[in-house]
Amino acid sequence: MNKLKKSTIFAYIVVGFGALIMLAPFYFMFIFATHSNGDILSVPPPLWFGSELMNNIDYLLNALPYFWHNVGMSFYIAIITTALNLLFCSMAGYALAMYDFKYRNVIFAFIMGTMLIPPFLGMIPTALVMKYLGWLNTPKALYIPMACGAMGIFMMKQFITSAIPKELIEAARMDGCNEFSIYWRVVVPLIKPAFGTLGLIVFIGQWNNFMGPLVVMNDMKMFTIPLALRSLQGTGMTPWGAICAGAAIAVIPLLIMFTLSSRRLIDGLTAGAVKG
Amino acid sequence: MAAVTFSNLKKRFGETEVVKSFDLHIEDGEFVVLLGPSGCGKSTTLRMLAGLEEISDGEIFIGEELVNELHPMERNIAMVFQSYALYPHMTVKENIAFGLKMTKVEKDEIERRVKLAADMLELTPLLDRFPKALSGGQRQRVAMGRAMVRTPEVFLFDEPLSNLDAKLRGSMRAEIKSLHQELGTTTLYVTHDQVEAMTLADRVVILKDGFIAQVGTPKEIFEQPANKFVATFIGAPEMNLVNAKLENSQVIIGEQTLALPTTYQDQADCALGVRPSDLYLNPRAIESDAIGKLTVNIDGIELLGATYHIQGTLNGSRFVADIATSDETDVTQETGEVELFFDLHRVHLFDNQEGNAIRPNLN
Repeated sequence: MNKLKKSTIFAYIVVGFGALIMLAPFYFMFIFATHSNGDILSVPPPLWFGSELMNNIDYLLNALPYFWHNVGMSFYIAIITTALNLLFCSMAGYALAMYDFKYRNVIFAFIMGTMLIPPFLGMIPTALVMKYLGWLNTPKALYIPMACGAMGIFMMKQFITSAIPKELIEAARMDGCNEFSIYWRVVVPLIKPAFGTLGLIVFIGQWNNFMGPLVVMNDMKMFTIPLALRSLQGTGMTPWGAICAGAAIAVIPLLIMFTLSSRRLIDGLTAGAVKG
Repeated sequence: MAAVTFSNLKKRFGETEVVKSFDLHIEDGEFVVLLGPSGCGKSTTLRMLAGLEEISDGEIFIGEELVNELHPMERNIAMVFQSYALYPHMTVKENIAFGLKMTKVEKDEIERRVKLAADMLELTPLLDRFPKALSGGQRQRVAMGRAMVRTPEVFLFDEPLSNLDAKLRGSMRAEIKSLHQELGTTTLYVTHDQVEAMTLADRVVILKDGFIAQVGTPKEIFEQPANKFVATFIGAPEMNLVNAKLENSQVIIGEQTLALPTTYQDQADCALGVRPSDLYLNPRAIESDAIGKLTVNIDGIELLGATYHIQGTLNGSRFVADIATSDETDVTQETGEVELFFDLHRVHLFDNQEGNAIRPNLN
């Protein structure tokens, strides 16, 4: 009993320490958003909220005249990319999970293989393709190449395999559903938890995406939030307070989303691990 | 309603042929059960009729129509699955109505048919529940309701009771039987449970390794098995089979001889089959003009409630007798050897080479 208690206390200390390290940057981001550059760069740095928040926001909005447009762009691109991923990944996952067709396993292995390629390798070719298509500085240059991904397909396939028995699909077929209505009326309602999880992952990934917009967006008006904030770091004095204020604004939607749906995210990530 | 005809039906999965030349005609309104051990091809045959499995060779007709290439929906059949296959996100009512909705039946008509099926299957109070809130038996009834409302020409059942407990299975069996009597729809039912087959079927089709081993009424199957496989597959405990030879219409088992009441051709290597339930300790319990007797070495006796289960050995083969506890002879006193009596008209003979039944000479 005593031994168990000690080990539990130790585990709590380790986990608590880890959580502290993880949370420290967030904490300082919010703190620095309320301080001037001089305070931020002083030693020791401020540990509690200051009174410069409105000044920092003013500076931010002056330096980034399209800031709210940039926020809108981030939302637009993240939402469209999420929707496309949910549609295409679930369709592909469904096909790979439920249909028997030639080379199915080879195709699946190939899709999985793409996960081994570092995403940065595809960045320049993607940018060139976007240029040839005339899509530079348009949102589709970001959401079309990201419309479907190996991780999403894998997740959907695993979820569908574990959550939907083949007999259900066959029953729907016998009830008169065509292949699309089986997907739409039977599969989609049953994979909502996976939709929630994948949706969150893709949305967060796109919201935070920096490298993608960096290579296809040159017009400041079309910047997404990470790119816009990065543009404040010029050759002169970096306005850390304003950047932190912008970053804090950018992170608020994610915090709200995550707080509302963290349970679903965790459930979805572990779904299929144990057969119920 | 419609008749169903399978003609030289075959199914291959790669190199493996699981259904081999399946020929069967099911009459309009008939209840046919496909019975066999796991892997004999019964479910595959059913699924080919349903359109869920491609046909490798042969033809299937529903009525006069060749349905090989038709989509499952176009075949006008309904199927009840082993796992019920209810849509978990729909209520009972939506589950039952789903097929009708998909085929664009009018709303009023859907309401009418759902109500009719729900009343018949006593599902009316459960219509707004989701499947997870139903018991196994209730789920099974919903699956049957979903099949019923479409008024199909053929009902297919794929081991529908195998997920239920023994008691519920009995009552559901009775419900399926009465449903068939009420609707009169042609029904093909797959099971590996011989009790289901014997109680439900107008005719039973016994399958083995993709071939039809025998087709017949439950009575024919039980009393005149066509081969050793059917003889041992049907009946519990299974039929006793003892190596013997036939000479001058006498069965010779080691030192023991049985004079048969009908004439048979001589056979050097055959098997005598006697059902455990046909054996008695007391010859007076048998009403027959030809009573046979075999002496068996007792290995053990078990009391199973209504019967004693005598296990013994005869000519090197296992020999079992089910003796009613009401039998005058006190079976518990038996040790060493026991004399078992039986009606010689009820014994079976099988050719040991092919395994086929040996029939008596006609004249």
